[in-house]
Amino acid sequence: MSDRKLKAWEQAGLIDAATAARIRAWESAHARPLGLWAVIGIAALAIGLGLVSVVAANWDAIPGLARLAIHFALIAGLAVWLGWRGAAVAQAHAWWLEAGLFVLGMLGLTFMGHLGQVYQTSSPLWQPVALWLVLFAPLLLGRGLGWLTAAMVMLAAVFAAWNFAFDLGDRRPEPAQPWLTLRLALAVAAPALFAGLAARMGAASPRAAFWRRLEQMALAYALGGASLCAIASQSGPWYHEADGDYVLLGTAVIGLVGLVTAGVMRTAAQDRGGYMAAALMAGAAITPIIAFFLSGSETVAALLFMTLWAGVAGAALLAGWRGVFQLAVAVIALRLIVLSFELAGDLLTSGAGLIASGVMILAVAWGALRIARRFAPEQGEAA
Amino acid sequence: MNRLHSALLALLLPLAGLAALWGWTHYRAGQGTEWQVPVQGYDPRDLLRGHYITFRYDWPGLEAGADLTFQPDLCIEGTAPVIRRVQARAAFDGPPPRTGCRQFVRRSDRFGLDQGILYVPQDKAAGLEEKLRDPRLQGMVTIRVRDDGHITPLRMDFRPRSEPLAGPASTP
Repeated sequence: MSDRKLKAWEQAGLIDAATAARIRAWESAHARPLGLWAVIGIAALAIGLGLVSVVAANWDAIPGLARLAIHFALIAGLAVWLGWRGAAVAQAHAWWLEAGLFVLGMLGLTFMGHLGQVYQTSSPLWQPVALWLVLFAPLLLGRGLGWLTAAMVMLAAVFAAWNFAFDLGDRRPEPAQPWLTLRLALAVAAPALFAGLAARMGAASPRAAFWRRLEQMALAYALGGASLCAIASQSGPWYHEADGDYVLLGTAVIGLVGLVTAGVMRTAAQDRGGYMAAALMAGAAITPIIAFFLSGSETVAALLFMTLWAGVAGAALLAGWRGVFQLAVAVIALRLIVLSFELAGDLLTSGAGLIASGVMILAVAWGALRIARRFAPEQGEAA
Repeated sequence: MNRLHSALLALLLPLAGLAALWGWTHYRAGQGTEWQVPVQGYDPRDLLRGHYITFRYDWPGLEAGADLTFQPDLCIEGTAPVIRRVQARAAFDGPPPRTGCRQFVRRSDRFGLDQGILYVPQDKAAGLEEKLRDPRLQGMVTIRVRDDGHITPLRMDFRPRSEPLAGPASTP
């Protein structure tokens, strides 16, 4: 806290002398010895880096079994600490527990890679990540307190799902098969299910912040997927393509999973934000199906994309999510600008065209800014 | 009490799961028969070179340059660890030949039957690659083949070629 600022505020009449004195007293009472912490931090960093480099230099000299045993002992030790002291730590320093869970999860994930290195095994990456999810998700979902653990679960689920899908796609025998399509669609849609779980669990949980983060992430995943679908639908028409039936099956399965999730979110909703989140999930769920039938036109694809995001903006308006509303307006504005280039690419080849497109970009940006400022709801709690 | 139980279970699950995975991997690593396969270098420009080495199998009995990309399995003939020759079947020709073939190898999830990967210490990788490029040396990889056809490359060593390759060494 700078004293100069306090004096300036005092002179400007923003605060009186007594308030300034109280602020100074509070600041000096709560001052943290930053210099000391920095020195301790540098020393700890040096020791840590030294340890890492000593271990790394002798990595190959340590027998594989010994390395694995040490790695496993670290995991077990951390787990014992979490079991023994976890509840007390969560009360006093919530972030320590969160960090402990994160480190435990990372140690578990690297242990699987370590096994592969020692025993010279290799498998598609989704297999260890999916196994990791089975083993660690109950712990992370049951104890996680914030975005770090929520992101860990969500990222692992998304990675496993897409790696599985690509792996399946790579080895796909021709022609496509319904069973294969079904597995692919279910895998890709599965991470969205976390939104339903989070909505249900968060309703009566002391760890509401964690569940809200998880719900946000799963909803963002669904909206991102729906946006990609809308963008991709400018190719096609999909129903005329050789494996169009399979594309329809895939989008229908994805849509069904999304709608079921939206239904769960709807029944668990307690306030307007909950209802809007459920509505957005439903919108994201039906977008791929609509995209299938409307595919094949640049303009329609752009309109579909903008409709989806207009829905996001509308939901944000009703639920009072300021940041989300502004984001949605920005996304629509960007899409408008990109669309103008797609529809009139030859504008860029003449001077007058360049001026016209520049003016249009300015107009869209100005309009978006106006809307984002003027109509954005007051700062409220996000989904 | 119930909550405490489930919290404990959630903590024990990863420990038990990882321990079981370790035990299973350890057990599986000891299964199978060891065979020796001649190999050649694969791609010297591999970005991750240094922690592992990739190579191409020169299965005895197959004509050089045979495309194994979609080959599901090969039948090994010979007496371990020496392979007399291998026989290929048509791709997608039904399940692995459980009868009529005493030992077969099956393509792994990540690699076809034409290439493999061996994790090696960083300081040894460069030397191994140097030798792989040496036309006077023939690289041999010892693989362990499980009954289900799964291949695990174990180690790489070299023996002098009876007749060195003509011209400068090249990798495909």
